[in-house]
Amino acid sequence: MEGLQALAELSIAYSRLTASPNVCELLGVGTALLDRWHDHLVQEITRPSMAELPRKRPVQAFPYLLPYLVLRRTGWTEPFYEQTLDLLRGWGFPEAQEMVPYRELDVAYFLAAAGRADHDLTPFYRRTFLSRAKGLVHVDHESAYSITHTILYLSDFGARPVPLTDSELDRARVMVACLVVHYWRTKHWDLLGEMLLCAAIVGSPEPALSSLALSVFHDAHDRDGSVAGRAEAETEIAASRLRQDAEAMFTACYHTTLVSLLLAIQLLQEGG
Amino acid sequence: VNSCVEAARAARRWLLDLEPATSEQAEYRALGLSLAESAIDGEPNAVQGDFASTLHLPEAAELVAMDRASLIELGRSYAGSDAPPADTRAALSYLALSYARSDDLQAVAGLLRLCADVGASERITADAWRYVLDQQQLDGSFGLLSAELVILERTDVLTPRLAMTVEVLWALAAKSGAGRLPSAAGALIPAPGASQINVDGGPDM
Repeated sequence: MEGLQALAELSIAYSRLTASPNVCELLGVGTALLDRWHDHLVQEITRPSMAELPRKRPVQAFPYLLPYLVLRRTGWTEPFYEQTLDLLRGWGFPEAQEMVPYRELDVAYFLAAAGRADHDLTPFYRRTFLSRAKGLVHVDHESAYSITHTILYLSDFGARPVPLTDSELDRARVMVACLVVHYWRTKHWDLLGEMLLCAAIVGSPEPALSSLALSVFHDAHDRDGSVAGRAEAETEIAASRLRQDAEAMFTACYHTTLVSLLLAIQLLQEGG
Repeated sequence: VNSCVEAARAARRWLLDLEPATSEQAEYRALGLSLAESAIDGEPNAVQGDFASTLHLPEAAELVAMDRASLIELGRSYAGSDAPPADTRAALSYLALSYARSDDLQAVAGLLRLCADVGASERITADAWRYVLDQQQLDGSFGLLSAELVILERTDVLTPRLAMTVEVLWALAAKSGAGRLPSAAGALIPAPGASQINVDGGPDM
């Protein structure tokens, strides 16, 4: 599942970049690189062993479909997957599968973004942690990821304003600002990156603190541009214990590095 | 405000009923009662002294990077009167919430004391205060420490609870506007970590 998640995240970064040519130019990302990513994604997605799985196991289908749904948005379609999506709908999926609310939002968002459904995301949002939590203290890691995913889906990863009321948006801003400081203090770079991305999307009641946290997050990056999810991994990399092990480095850095890329895209879009 | 005063009254009742078994507990009790009075009436305490010595707060980034022991020490020694920058005040209130997430009552109480001193936004600190008040036992003492004490095989349950209660009463006194710690308390309040039961970062939040 780890490789699958990595593929899905790469497809999201690819989709975000292809939709932002001005940012690509600022980042020096040329069409050659994007074409290479596209070819890699298509190659992985069309592998029969992956493409057949959603039909074989409809209850577990969504993670296997996600990279395709993201790529579909960029204009690429594949007949076998299209047929699979029709079959799944006929079998009652994804609605039949029970999920936590932010995962329901996840499915609704990606299906809608891919043009395979027409969901109003608001009712899904109302069942999530971000909507229901009444305080700022009792937030664990899982809840924090729920918050960031909720904001990312509602905002189409920063491409559109979050469709919340003023008071809901205000609460979201305060929640995110609090969690920026929390994950900065606890050196949880993965969640700090996600929270900074969300702060860039919804705004921050404390922009000066967000800027400081952004500098800290930037400083956590390695010279090659990667960033480890947790400070402990960062220490091990610095001591070269992980550096020799490509797979371990990938596991330690891949997700947070992509978050960092999405954050850069968001900030560059805002800036220009 | 009412709930804070009620909490201080309940803590005072617990302290009044308490029969200290050691001189340390007796000193805690006396200090706690003194702070409870200040928290309830909002007046500076009769035994208030000049314990504090730190006049300027570090900048926001330094505060967030500070380890817990240094933060608690800062909370005890700060006596500045200049209003710090807005980001410093915000950092203090967000840190109070952050330590609440780590279930660290001692650190939260110290940070709320600083928040009260610098006039941090009550909108943010309200949730940290709610966390603190939610740690009050039915008997009026502060700290939900039972599980940790069992794990640590501590037989003396009273002293840690007294220490936590004094920390919270000190914060409540600061919130009420009563000002600084009585002078004798510097030596009495355990060094950061000494009375720490809930290890920061223990709950993975």
